[in-house]
Amino acid sequence: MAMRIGLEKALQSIKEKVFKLFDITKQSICLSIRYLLEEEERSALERIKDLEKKSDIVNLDIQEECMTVLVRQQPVAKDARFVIAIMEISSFFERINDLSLEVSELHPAKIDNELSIVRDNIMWMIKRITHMIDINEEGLRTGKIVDIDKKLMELDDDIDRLFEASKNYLIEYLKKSRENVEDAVKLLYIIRHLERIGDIVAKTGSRIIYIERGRWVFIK
Amino acid sequence: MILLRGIHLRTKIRTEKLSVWYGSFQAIKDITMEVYEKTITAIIGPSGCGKSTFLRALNRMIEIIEGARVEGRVYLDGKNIYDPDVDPVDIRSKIGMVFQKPNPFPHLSIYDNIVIGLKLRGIRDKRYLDEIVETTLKKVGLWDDVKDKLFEKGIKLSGGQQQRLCIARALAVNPEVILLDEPTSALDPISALKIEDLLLELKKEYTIVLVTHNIQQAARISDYTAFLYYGELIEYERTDILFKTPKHRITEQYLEGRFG
Repeated sequence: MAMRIGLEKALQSIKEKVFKLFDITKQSICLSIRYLLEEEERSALERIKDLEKKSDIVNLDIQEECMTVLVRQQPVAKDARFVIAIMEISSFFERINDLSLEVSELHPAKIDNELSIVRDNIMWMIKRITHMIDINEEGLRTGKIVDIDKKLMELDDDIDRLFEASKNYLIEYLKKSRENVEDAVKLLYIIRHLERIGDIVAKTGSRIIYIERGRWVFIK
Repeated sequence: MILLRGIHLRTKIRTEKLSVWYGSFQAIKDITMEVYEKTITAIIGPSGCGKSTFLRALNRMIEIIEGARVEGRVYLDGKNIYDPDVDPVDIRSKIGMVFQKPNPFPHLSIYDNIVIGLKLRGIRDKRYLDEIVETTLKKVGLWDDVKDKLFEKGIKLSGGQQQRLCIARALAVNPEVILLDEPTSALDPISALKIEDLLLELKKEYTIVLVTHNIQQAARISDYTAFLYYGELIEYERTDILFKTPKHRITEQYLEGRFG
């Protein structure tokens, strides 16, 4: 039926934009960390700002398209769950891009050798976050969500452990060090942001499960 | 020229200060608006707001109502259809109409229901008429259902099929615009959805103006929506914009179902 075809096209267009938002987010997180760890030029900050602006625009496009589908097509059942969940997911990822920009703006002057363990933990946190985004993308693309909650929870727990270990290390470092205090505090903020990003990406998985199964699960 | 989803739209019909009176009662008040080619324009509004009157004024059907009087202009491709040199019969073949209740001629077969307009114009070439019957029935998605019973009475078809037959009858005279006055209100929901699908197909070739009481129907299938209230055009906008962010409080209240 043509009506259904129109709805399918609209939903597919929204889905493609969500994937674009996922991609922008991964680029932003990876770039902000490379920039922090001084593997990237200062101009990287401008690129991250651009990505953040792009994420705002894509998010607004998604919200607008979802609103259009709601008022014009009156979706029901899975289609309705999809639209409602996507509006949330889109906002989640727009927020992640804000956090990613904040991370890059917390650029420490230097990470001395004593703090290299935190630097390594940050790398591991990022790897887990991007892996979690990939899992969400795969779930949304294919509708296959077997164990998605378990996988995301394990990765989020890993991130939490890395955060706790880094935080404790930094507290000890701050107690004994009188130099480089500002950089250590910045790193504390950075790992806090990354831990928060992990939570948001995990929560995204619960919305994807809601789309497919119509029931709420808590991933935390 | 105006853009809709990246496509330039041409004005097909333009009304200019269009007013309609029934005796001393003014049913339509100074409506100026444009209907764009190959789009669906929905006319919505509460009962008695003048939707059907407005529609009938677009192809001079209003003239057959005793006591009705029209002021203002209605341009079809730039030519005022109310000019004295314009034949209303010509206009009604260019701007066809489909009514609320399916109204096939009860004494005529499916075949004759479709070609009646052509026969009245003196067209008798059987091969041509056969071709028209097949083409229009295919366009309205009825050919497979009726091809083996073309000479049975049209009235024997189901309600939804009868309405398709009426649309086929309107298409047979090769109109450029189709006016529909609540074409699905007498149909069951499935037949109504099929007619909506059909209209989405037909807008690829025709300009469609649809009067509907069903707000959701306007939202689903129209490109533009006009909201009428007590004979006035309150708001006319792209459908997605009007349904998301109506400019007038009265439009918003109507869409929200606060009156009607």
